[in-house]
Amino acid sequence: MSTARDPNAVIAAWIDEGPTELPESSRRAIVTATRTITQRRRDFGRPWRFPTMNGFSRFALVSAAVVVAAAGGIYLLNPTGPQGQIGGPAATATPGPSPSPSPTRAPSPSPSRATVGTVTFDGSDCTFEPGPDSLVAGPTWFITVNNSADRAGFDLWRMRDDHRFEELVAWIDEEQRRLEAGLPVVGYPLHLAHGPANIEHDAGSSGRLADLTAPGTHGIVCYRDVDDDEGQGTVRLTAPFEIR
Amino acid sequence: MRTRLVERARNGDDVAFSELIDLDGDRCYAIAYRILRDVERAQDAVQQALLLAWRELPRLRDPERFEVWLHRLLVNACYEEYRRYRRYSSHLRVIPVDPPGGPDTTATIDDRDALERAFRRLTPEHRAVFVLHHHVGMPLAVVADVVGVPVGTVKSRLHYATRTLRAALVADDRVEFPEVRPA
Repeated sequence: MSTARDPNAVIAAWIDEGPTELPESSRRAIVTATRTITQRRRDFGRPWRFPTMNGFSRFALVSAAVVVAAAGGIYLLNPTGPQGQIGGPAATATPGPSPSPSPTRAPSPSPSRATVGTVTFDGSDCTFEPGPDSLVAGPTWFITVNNSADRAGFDLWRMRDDHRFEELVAWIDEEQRRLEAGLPVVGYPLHLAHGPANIEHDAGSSGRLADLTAPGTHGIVCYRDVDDDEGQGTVRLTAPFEIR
Repeated sequence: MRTRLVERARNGDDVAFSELIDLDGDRCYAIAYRILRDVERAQDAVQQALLLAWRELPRLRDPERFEVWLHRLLVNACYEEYRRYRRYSSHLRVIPVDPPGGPDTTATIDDRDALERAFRRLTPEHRAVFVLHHHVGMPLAVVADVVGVPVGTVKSRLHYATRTLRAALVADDRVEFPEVRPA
């Protein structure tokens, strides 16, 4: 090894080493999975966020060794739509996959998944009540209750380590201000590390928000999902909570 | 061409989306591998990013922004993959993969080992900036757009990452050529 060499050239050569082609098996799995994943509605009026994939779905996809299993996992673990609701009309729901809860009581999670709390949206406030299980990272259920008069969605967010929850509060306030002013919303908040895991369901119904959580400060965003151009969207945020 | 494909895919055309995967999949994988330094994790991150892109595509207002948007999804997927991997598999050490065609003549095995170790000490945020700028060749302003931080922060991260890697090479040289002191 020569001490006179150019370190920058060595580094540049090194960073260009390695694979450059997506393996065909991966490509096929992705293409196949897209045939089973329903695209979100266009919702041009208020794409108030720019979510990342449900962590539970991702976890399932990764674990799927075959294409069919991967596709099935995605479908199974994206808990939106009629099966994910308790009560309420299902006519406008996105076809979705969720473990079906009882129509009269809170859903009973699988034994391996902790139910860590209930988040309730009444159209103006979004509140989180911790549940019987401790807030420990891993496969997790949140019960979501939509007591508002409209279809609503719930997003679970985790803060990046180098950001404070107050930044998310300010971001939500700004999004709400823009919604009320009829302005384009800002979109994806970059101080968030992960998320959101997401579920949407109709007025007066409940569901389960599943995620593979990681330690950190979390918050759940409740939003009123509106399709029309008249706006009046609502975005609210729970108090922060820590997952260990 | 890409814009037309994006528009078609945005309207639910999965064939168009598969063509987008053909166009962008390799680059996404190359980026993800270089950030994560692991082939399987890189595949997972790419799958996550592309499937999310498919799901959220109807909400992408400007098809011209698809590339930046996809890269942002990818980088976030890498961040998430990195965090999960660190948490659940922190005891594992991934052995670097030699490129096809044998070792590079510029970077020796010792260089690679030193650089791998140094790179793994960097946060994924530092890695992403370094890879997007030096491997992909993105201008700093585009990198800033992709990772969602000011250009000044991109410069700072790039400087830190480069300095770390250079220091690793220098330290490696010192090990290779210890000063011989007279007895």
